[in-house]
Amino acid sequence: MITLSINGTPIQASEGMTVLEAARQEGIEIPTLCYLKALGPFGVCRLCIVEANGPGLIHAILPSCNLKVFEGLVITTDSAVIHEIRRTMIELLLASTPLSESLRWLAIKFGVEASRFTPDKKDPCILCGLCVRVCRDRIGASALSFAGSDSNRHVVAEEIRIDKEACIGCGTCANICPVQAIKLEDMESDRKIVLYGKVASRFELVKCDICGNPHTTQEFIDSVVSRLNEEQKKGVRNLCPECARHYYAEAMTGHFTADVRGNR
Amino acid sequence: MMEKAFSCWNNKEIESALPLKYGDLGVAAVIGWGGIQVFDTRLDIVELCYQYAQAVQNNSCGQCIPCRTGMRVLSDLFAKIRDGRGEERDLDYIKSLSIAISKASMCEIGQSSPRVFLYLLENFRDAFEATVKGGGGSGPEYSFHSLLTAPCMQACPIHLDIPKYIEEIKAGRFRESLDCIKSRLPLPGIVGRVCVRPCESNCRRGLVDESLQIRHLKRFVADYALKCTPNTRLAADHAAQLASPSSLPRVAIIGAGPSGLTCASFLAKKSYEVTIFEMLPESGGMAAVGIPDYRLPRDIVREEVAEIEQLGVKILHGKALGPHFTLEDLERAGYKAVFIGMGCHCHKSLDIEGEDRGYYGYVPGVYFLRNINLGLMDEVPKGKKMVVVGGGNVAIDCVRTAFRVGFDESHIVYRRSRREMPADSVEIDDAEAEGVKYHFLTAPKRIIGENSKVTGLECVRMELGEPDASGRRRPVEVPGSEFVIEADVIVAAIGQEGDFNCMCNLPGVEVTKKGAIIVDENLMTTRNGVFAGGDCVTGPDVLIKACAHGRLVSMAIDEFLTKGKTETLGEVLDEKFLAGLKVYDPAESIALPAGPGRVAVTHEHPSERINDFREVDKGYTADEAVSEASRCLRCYRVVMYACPDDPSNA
Ligand SMILES: Cc1cc2nc3c(=O)[nH]c(=O)nc-3n(C[C@H](O)[C@H](O)[C@H](O)COP(=O)(O)OP(=O)(O)OC[C@H]3O[C@@H](n4cnc5c(N)ncnc54)[C@H](O)[C@@H]3O)c2cc1C
Ligand code: SF4
Ligand code: SF4
Ligand code: FES
Repeated sequence: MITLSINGTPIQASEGMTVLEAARQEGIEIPTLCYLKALGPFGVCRLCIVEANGPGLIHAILPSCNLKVFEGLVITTDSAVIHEIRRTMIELLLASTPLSESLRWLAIKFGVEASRFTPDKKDPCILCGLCVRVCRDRIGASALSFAGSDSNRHVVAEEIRIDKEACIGCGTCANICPVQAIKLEDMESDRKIVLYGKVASRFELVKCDICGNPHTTQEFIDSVVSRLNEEQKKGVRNLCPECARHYYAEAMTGHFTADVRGNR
Repeated sequence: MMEKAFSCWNNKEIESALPLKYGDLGVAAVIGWGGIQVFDTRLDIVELCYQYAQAVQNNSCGQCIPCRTGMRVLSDLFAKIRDGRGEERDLDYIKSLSIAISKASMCEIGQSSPRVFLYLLENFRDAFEATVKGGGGSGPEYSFHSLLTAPCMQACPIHLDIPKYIEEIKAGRFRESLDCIKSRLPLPGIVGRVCVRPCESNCRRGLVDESLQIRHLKRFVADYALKCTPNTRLAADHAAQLASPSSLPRVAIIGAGPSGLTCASFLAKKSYEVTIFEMLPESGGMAAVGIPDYRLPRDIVREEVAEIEQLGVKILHGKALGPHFTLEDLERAGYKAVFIGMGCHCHKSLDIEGEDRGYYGYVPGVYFLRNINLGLMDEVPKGKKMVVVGGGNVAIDCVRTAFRVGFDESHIVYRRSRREMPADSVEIDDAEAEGVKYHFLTAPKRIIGENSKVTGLECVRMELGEPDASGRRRPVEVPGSEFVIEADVIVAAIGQEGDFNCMCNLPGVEVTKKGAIIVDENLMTTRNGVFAGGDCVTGPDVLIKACAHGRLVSMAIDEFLTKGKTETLGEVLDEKFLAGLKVYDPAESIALPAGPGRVAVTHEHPSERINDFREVDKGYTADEAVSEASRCLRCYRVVMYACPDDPSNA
């Protein structure tokens, strides 16, 4: 166990934990945009900055999502300096992506009424990388990637690009995007993945074996099945989430819990 | 307009600093990561800030919000003030933005660049306020030029874009990483193995815990590409180019060493018709016939040479300048420019008794290694016990090679202590692990022979006295301490020198007394159209410097042949200018906690590896490379200088 202090309170954390994890464990809130527990730290949104003091650190300002805890670390999450920088960054976010609903909520929470800075181009995306990482690290499709700029070789990230061939239409990116720059549009059995307002890929949805409602893409099912062993493969059913819940409940209890067959 | 000239760099105010120069041009002002220096007070400071903010924004990688959007907003604000539309509160905005960007950005571009704005607002706020109230003054016109560097990049003789190629590895884009390296260096597999890595001693991560393994990362991407698409990898890229026969003039290159190969590669890419004349049957220079295979496998050298040949470069083996042809012959054959990259292949003698007796078993190090490398084992003296004299990399290569060609014992005799050894410390340790015996503070006095065969080396003990010109303490003999080390073979490896015989017989090409070809800033010799670089200009040096020379000469030859110009190359001027700005500050304290340190590379076990020439270092796996790359702090720095458009105005 490691002892550190956050906002004046001594805290125990296990080795290898980040300051963000330690703080959340204690119920101390630190805002984040590009961090998700399932994906780990990425360190680009910089909203999670804290002030760090301790051995070798004097008034250092560091992102807490990838700062590992160590003995004697003294963290302040809400000093005036941090607050000021964080507010400025929220204003910058608003200036780059003014149309985002969730960013406006964030702004309100941190007392930012309006950005002091004029937006120039209205960017739909904050380049947080969540979609890229979830697609690569969790879904395993690697259909999304950061694209640099053709005219400026220094630019590593200018926009998100999608590889249509690799996309399996699962829609996880759309669910994860904090600013709805990627959207999932299902119409009957037609699914569209819409990136920055343009249709990026299109799929036909397969129907649930029980209720017959279109629910997911064949490509997604194939990708899940390909990762199962022979035994597991035998248990695969083509069911929508709702029917699956009932189906497996029945398998366990012997009762099919609702009559959803064909009438949803 | 400023009231007086001022200078603040790396947190130090410099009273009455001397005006900086870019080449012969007087610089009006410099602004950058380290601060600002203003020499010409008529320059509009707001315009300078605007230009700098723009340059920083152009260099931003776009990944983190503070830098990506913040620098854009900052430069908008400066433009607004400069154009007379500024308001008092804009200065406060600039301040809070500069704080946020410098404190919260992900890398040094954002962290280091806006600090200068805070300094200016603190010390010269009235100048900004005056512009807010009255708009910018109208003075002479200036042009602004920005340069991008990093501590590691600055130390690298060929200035590879190190943070960029590391970044690509971090993102898993290995191919792109290699492309980035190759845009400046055609021999990544070679350099990725044997470079002495000056970059790593300038790495800022080293100030936090340990420097990045920059060289191993380079080797990783070079090997990765080799594994994925051996040999054919360049073919596609350059097929189109090869299809069109070059219409540009013919260029002759003397020597297929690192400098010659690099020069040839870049000239061929520019569509010149390039022929390399190489005296030995093997290409690669010291990379092939000097450095042993256990550090640099021959396949790697051959692979990279083959790639250069695929660009259309012709290599003619067994052709030596001097014995076989002259510079005039080349001229007559229609070569419009010549690059001499013939290295330093002659050995320096020990100047001790017995050296000139022609004993079997006495051999200079470079010849010992060359014969082994060329497979001429009959030429290599046999025996059980070898003693090597010297303390550099060549000495270590000889002493480690000894085991691999059948010697049971291998000793090294060096006149100073371990600390002063010029050889790479990793090499020194590796040799020790293999069983090499060191005799420090020991100097050779006499080679002892019997029946025209070496039997031992008489040595004398030394102690360290006052420091000499090189800063190392000068060894002095301890009187009466002579002793003999028995030996079957003695190898002298105390240095190489140029081939005087050849060099001194090149009409119009001047040579120093020490045997180095004299060149100007563009590496042109005293003979028009004849250039030289690498070891034959610097004396025995390192591979990457030879490559850097080769690259520079390729540009100089291009300029010379297209424009007939001999003005100093922009690259040379940039390099000199940056060298004056202290890109790496070893005293800097970096507010980051130490991490677990560098990702170690695995080696072949010493007891196994000494039996043959298998490669000792195993290199990184992809996962190891990515986690090592993630340690990089991306210490890019942007600097900008302003020059008056009309130099007579300076
Ligand atoms: C044993 C040894 C180990 C070394 N280890 C390292 C190391 O680990 N790291 C490092 O950075 N550097 C190392 N070096 C130094 C490095 O190899 C050299 O600095 C580098 O090879 C110089 O390149 P170059 O092109 O100038 O000359 P060279 O590599 O010497 O190449 C010159 C070429 O010109 C040819 N040539 C010579 N004369 C003529 C002529 N008259 N006509 C035609 N061709 C001619 C030669 O045969 C040779 O192929 C080592 C050197 C040696 C000897
Ligand atoms: S599309 Fe959404 S999730 Fe993906 S990088 Fe942009 S903002 Fe983040
Ligand atoms: S941390 Fe990275 S950018 Fe900084 S000096 Fe080291 S290698 Fe270069
Ligand atoms: S959550 Fe830490 S930088 Fe985004």
